[in-house]
Amino acid sequence: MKPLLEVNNIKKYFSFQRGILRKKTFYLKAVDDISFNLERKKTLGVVGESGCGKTTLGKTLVNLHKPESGSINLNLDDGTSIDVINANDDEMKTVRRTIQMVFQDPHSSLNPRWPIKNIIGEPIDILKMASGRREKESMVMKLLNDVGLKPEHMNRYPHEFSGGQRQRIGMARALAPKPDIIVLDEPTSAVDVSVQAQVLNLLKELQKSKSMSYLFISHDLGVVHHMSNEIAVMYLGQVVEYGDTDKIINDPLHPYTKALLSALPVPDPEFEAHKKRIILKGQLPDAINPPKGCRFHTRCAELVGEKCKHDCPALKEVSKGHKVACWIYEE
Amino acid sequence: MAEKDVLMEVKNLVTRFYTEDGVVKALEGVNFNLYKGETLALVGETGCGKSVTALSILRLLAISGKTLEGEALFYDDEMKEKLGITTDGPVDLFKLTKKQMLKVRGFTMSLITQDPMTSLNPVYTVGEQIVEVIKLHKGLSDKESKKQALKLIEEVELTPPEDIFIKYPHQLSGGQRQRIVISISLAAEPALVFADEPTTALDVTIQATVLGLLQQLKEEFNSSLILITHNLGIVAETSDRIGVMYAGSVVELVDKYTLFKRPLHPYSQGLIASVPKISEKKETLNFIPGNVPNLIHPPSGCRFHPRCTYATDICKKKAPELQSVENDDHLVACWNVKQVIKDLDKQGGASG
Amino acid sequence: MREYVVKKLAIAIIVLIGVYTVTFFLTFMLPGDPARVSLGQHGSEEAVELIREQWGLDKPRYVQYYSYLTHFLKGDMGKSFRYYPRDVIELIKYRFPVTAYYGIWAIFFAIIFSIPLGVIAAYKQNTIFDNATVLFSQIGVSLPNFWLGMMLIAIVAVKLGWVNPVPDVEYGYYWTPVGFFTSLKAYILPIITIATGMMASNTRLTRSSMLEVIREDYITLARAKGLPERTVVLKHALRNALIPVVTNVGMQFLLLVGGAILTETVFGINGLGRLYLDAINYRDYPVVIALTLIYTGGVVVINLIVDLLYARIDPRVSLS
Ligand SMILES: Nc1ncnc2c1ncn2[C@@H]1O[C@H](COP(=O)(O)OP(=O)(O)OP(=O)(O)O)[C@@H](O)[C@H]1O
Ligand SMILES: Nc1ncnc2c1ncn2[C@@H]1O[C@H](COP(=O)(O)OP(=O)(O)OP(=O)(O)O)[C@@H](O)[C@H]1O
Ligand code: SF4
Ligand SMILES: [Mg+2]
Ligand SMILES: [Mg+2]
Repeated sequence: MKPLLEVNNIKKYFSFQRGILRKKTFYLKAVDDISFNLERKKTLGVVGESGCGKTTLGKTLVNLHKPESGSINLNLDDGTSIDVINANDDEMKTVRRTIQMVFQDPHSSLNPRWPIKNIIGEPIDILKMASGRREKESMVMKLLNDVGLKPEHMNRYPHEFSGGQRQRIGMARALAPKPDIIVLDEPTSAVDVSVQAQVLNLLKELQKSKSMSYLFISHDLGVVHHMSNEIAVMYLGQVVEYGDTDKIINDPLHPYTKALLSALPVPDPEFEAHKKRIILKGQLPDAINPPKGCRFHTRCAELVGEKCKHDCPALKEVSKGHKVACWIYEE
Repeated sequence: MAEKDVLMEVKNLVTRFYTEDGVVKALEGVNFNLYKGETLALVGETGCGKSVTALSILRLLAISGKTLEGEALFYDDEMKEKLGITTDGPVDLFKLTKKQMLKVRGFTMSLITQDPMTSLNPVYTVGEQIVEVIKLHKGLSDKESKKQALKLIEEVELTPPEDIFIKYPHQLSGGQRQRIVISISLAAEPALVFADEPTTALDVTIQATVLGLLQQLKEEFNSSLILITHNLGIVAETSDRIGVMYAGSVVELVDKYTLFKRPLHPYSQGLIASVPKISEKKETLNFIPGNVPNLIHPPSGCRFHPRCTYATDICKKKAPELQSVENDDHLVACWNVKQVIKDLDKQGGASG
Repeated sequence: MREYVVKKLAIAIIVLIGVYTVTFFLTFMLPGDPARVSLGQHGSEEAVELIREQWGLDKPRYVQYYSYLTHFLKGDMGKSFRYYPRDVIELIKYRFPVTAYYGIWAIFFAIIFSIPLGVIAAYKQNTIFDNATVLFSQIGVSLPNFWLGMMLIAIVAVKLGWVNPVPDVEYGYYWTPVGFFTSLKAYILPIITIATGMMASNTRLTRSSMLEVIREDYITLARAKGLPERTVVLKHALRNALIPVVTNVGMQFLLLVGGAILTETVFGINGLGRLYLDAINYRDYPVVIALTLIYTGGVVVINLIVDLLYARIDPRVSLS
């Protein structure tokens, strides 16, 4: 069986114009040649620093951005395959139903003037899933129940809920069309640890009961580790390492992944005391003018030589299911 | 841990905010002590009173806030000298006049705030903002102050210092700004630095370098650090001891190894257990049921009782005091801590 | 910065030509023939024709448009219809000092009282002082100039007899070094009339912007440095709080014109406001057009000054 979602070489550039008289166009390569597969009922974690393109990647998958090039194929259980980027209207409807996204900020992604039932009911209306008001309301109630909220919350407004509850509302809205894939963009970055634990548990339960796949975006490696089967590490619009969660966490290969892991404070003092720390020099470079060669070479601690400064390494498989883009691992 | 000279003892801080919605009972008897040279972390969920504790001690609360009770006893000779106090014993910050407080702030205690985007004044160069403190507390000439400022900029690893000196905050990145804020807070070599979420707004890789720097400079300047954060990872990495706060009081105070291995307060246990750990993969995470209490109408007695699995009748009536358990350095505020220990021993020692 | 100023001025010339065009055609669309208006009901047809010819009104519109434009570009504002053959520029030169005199005082008072008031009110938020300031500025903003002027005349001048309802100072005396201050009493009512609204709006703005600023982290940090409260407010808070106030004061120079028309009518002052109003009534087109252009030029210059000031106060603003 083909993987549920096949993403090949997608690119998403944002263009800017600078200068008044001689207008010059610059490109910000937010997603630059990314490929991966998302398997059924699995979670792919995406990690990386702020601005590396995680949200843009997610939005491209749910068709909020149209990629410059590349292909996204959705292979449904009934054997049909949809080319997401060139889908016709009918196919588009299926895509919209199948892939949903929960947005980064639970405060700004819920319309403050709508009661919860309208927020959750919106996708039901758009996809014409209910035959009448009664049916729609009973669907909303069921969804609220699924995410651990009470049916009587239906008539309340977003500001009457706590951060964790709002995240649940966002989740209910995404669940409404019974999707197969949900893109979760930092679903717990705005809530406290004890609330985070509840939200993560809920996500896992729902994944199991509804047989869904997740693309899980976060910059908290601990959370990603807890949630994912596989992890993709992003740096400046590209995936620099990709593989099984345990491989990435226990045996990271790319110098950036190593630095990221070493920088991540682990809530375990004994582990911290023995941790080897790699301090990265400098800031994340300007995305409009990324460094030539390997994009990480300006901060890399293991720079192998001139090659890094001039040629960009490709993502290559080094062991089964473990890919890395770094000259160190090329013979 | 550093030598066990006490720098500050905070006793029974009670702080209220008088708002239109009612009186916010933000701090309800905060107690802790701080050793010279140590890093004490204050952790807890949003709204539990971490920032208010720091601001109360600095006496910098918003106008609507009042510290009604409490002492902050300072054992610092340099401070006494500066204030011209010759009597023996510690100085209670709350007994100082406003004028004396001015001499203490920036000189004995300083503050690092959360967001480097907003903690520097946008209309002055970073150089001017560093020089200001040096002139104020060291009484140096303009030229000498500038020289010192350049040295400080170099200490926080920003180069070349001359270039950085004349930059405005908006011309620097978040990490660079936070380094400037650190240099300002250390300019007068204070005995105590409050760092309120100093790296929350920064990326992990930048966060690591800024934290490392803060730690290193704190040692170099021989200051104590009160690190306020809700990130348990940062706590495990940078602190010596940890004070866990819940709804306006410190409920457990102990060294970091013990807290992570053998937390004794039911809330600390829940907090530690809810964090996903890299060293072990669990299917489901533990969590604390219920919600953070409303501080206008807080629960009676132990404020944790509505969410606590150990709660008994006395918990609803009377607030427990922070007391030593198991050994002198492990302080817990819980009526039923003996039961907690019994359960732990049954499970075989470790919890979380 | 030089480049910025030059660019702005170049844009200003285009704007001025556009404004000239619009004003030209709008004024000529007003009903009533200037020649007829100037001779009154009794002028003969021939006399009117003669005057029309003399003023160039008999020529086609586009010829008139072009001829005015070329004159303007040479700096010649033409001759007034009403006071023919006096030059427009001469009329304006004569009236300008009057309006400038009380206008400058009005703006001065509007700034000098409002900023401290706003700062103190913000600083003592929710005290009686603050509430009173908020109340008075609320009233001040909503009082119509016209009504305020009338009330001042009725009470201060007529009933109490403290000052003359019409300022009785010899023309030009107020611009002598002594007269500048001694004429203040005579002009105090028009000054208060104009300044009240401005002062109220400046106070409100200073207060609200100050309230926002003192909540910023950098103010807490300034206090944590151990700086005395005076330094925190005057050095760290005020400069940031003034950023929006600068724009407001710039705007007030422009509002002055509208205020001047009403105020000068109420107090019988022969200033630019009266000149403008009369020119419209008498269909004195050269004066109307000249004053409109000067006003527009003023707008451009004041905007430029505000921009430059902005860049001085706030380093985040770059002029480009
Ligand atoms: N709509 C847009 N127009 C122009 N540039 C954009 C747009 N959206 C994102 N970008 C830029 O693309 C880059 C990637 O942004 P993206 O939001 O995907 O990052 P991210 O990895 O999600 O970061 P974070 O962790 O901060 O959410 C950034 O440099 C960002 O400024
Ligand atoms: N100026 C204020 N006016 C009214 N209430 C306030 C004010 N400042 C703080 N509080 C209240 O005091 C309590 C403690 O707040 P504090 O800022 O200390 O929390 P915190 O532990 O620092 O949380 P966070 O992790 O979100 O920074 C909260 O309930 C808060 O709402
Ligand atoms: S005092 Fe009672 S309610 Fe509070 S934590 Fe202990 S057992 Fe729970
Ligand atoms: Mg994002
Ligand atoms: Mg806080």
